[in-house]
Amino acid sequence: MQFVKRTAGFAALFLVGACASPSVQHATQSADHSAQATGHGVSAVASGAATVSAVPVMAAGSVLAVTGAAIEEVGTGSLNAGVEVFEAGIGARPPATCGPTPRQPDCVTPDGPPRLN
Amino acid sequence: MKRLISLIMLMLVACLPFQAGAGSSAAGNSVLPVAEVATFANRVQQDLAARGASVAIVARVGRDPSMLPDGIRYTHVGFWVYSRITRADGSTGMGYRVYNLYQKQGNLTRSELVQDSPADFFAGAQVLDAGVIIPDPRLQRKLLEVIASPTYAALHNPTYSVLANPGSSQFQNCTEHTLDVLMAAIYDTRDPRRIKANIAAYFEPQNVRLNGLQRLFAPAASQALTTADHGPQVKTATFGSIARFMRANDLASQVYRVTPDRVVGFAG
Repeated sequence: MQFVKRTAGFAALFLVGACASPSVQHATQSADHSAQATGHGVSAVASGAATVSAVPVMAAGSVLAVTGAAIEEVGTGSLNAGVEVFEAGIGARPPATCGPTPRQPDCVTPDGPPRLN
Repeated sequence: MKRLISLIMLMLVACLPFQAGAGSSAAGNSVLPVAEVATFANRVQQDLAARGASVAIVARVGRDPSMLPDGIRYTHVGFWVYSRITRADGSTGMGYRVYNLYQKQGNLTRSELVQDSPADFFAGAQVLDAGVIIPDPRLQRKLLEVIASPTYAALHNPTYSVLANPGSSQFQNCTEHTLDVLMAAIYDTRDPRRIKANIAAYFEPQNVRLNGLQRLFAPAASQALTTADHGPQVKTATFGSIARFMRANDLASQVYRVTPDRVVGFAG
């Protein structure tokens, strides 16, 4: 039984999709989400307009405020043209790590345990 | 008999990728009510704001937890970044934007980096349960520098595998990209070879118990299920393994779960 469960679990990760976008899982319902969310008093933004810019703010250590356009409705993020999509790749070749022997010429030695200075 | 059942299940998987990508499949019907999702998304971002988090690692449950492999609770992870937001209609506000690696619609063996809203992040949730890691404030600053720099995109490998090996650059999934960005911030580097060397040395990924038959047939269903980048054991990065790594190395201020009615510690 455990074997079958594990197999089903592995398949489940793919069928619904680990790292799946809402546009994959949710596309058929997204169009009217803004209106529905607003109607339930959830959204502070009635227009449902897409985000055009978001500038990160570093303010750690104190209570922050969530206001205005950030009170989000469902379905206007990744499904709109304003979304930021990056395409870049790194080499597909696995890096060589420095084993004891034989030492690979292009291996990389770890820096040391992670520490915050 | 067990193996026969397993084989049949995997053959069934082979028939389903196009349904899964269509968005109108069974998965779409089981998505939670919109108002609940929006309310929960706002609950999570209000919680983060109350704790003063500029950058957090947040995870969602994209599948019935009882169907997931042992040791895996969450299926998607992204960075939530406190931001000044301006919309097309000129309205502005303060809140969180989510930096995701998502599988591409129509080609699930490829991924793209997408910025969306907290509500969109939870739109794919099957259960309203968020895993949250708030990094140490010093690490938050470092993470923000990486996320706002070209390094964030440079660390993206669009060749996607559900069970990518975080010690290898051959494939990548959302959790591995999160881990790569985390390591880039910790070690002040954008060199993928240094990042992978440090992951191999100090990060313990989640072991996923699969037998040879499962590994053999899964890629026939989709290359997104490949385990070609693994050795005898399949180990992948998960929210839980990142949480354990950060706790063990004093990199996290808080690790917890948010549900619609309570906030509890994360025990994974």
